[in-house]
Amino acid sequence: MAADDELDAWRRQWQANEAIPSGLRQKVQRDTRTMRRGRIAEIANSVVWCGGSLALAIVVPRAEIIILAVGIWILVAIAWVTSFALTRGTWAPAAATATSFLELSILRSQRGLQALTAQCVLYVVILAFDLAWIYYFKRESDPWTFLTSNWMLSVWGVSAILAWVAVSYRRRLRRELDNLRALERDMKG
Amino acid sequence: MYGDVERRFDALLAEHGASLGRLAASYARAAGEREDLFQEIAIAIWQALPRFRGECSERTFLFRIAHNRGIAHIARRRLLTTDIDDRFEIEDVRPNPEQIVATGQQDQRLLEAVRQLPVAYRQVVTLTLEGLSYGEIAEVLGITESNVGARLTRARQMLRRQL
Repeated sequence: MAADDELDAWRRQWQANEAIPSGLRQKVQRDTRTMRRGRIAEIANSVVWCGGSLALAIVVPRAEIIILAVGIWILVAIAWVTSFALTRGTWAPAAATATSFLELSILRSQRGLQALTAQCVLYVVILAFDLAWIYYFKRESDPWTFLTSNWMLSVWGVSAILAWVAVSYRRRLRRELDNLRALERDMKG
Repeated sequence: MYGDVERRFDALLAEHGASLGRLAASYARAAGEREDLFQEIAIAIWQALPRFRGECSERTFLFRIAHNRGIAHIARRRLLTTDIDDRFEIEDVRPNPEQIVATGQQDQRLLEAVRQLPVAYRQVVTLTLEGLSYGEIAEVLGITESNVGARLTRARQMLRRQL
């Protein structure tokens, strides 16, 4: 790089620095760490489920086990595509400026809401797949008795708790998004 | 009279506030410390403004005050203890990866690298990056233009090694 080009580049970088409110910077850093931990959890989850189902299909190569493994792989693939789509462009601010930090926080909040919806849909699909698989391959009763058995009641109970957690989390995300948008309006005057 | 000073003060801060904020950031790393230094600079400008008679440009006047406050800030923190030549070998104190990932850009790395420079070089670099000419920098710092050039050359070598 020529000397003056270098100085010009530094000057542009330097002048892009504006005061970033410390709370906003900390929030972005905190959210980045959370996202990174989430990605590690996704990888671990995928390894366990895909590896486990593959190992089971190899050890017990029966039709229902292979169907289960294929189903798990498809669901994990869907989860990854969704995850990549929702985290694209949200890992770092476009520039080290207050505006970029705020835009990133707003984008993350919006994607967080979309991710929550996607997770709920995926949960329902996974539950439907699992129940259908169990019913067709391990059937011991009629559908009504199956869906109202004791262990199924515990599944409905856990699902109800998860639904309540999702609704609470969604409210929290909405509040956060509203606050960030209010801050954006303040900054734009 | 008071109203005139207030208007001029507001106009100056509106025009040069971002530059002064960056300058404060080059002297103070912690956000709270930076805000305190910025306030100190603003108060010093407010106090000096009635005595400003246009002997130099407003920008030169502002940056001179800001750098003096910055030096006072460092002196208070007892960091101004080594001669600039003793510090030519700069330790590799880069921002931590967390910070780089979070801010995502080179801007933060440049700011960190500038912070690592000895004060005499840091002053020349920050003023250069703010777009001041050699003449203006010489006027702000009270040194000759050739001295500005020499300091800037060495400062750029240091920055290249840091970045």
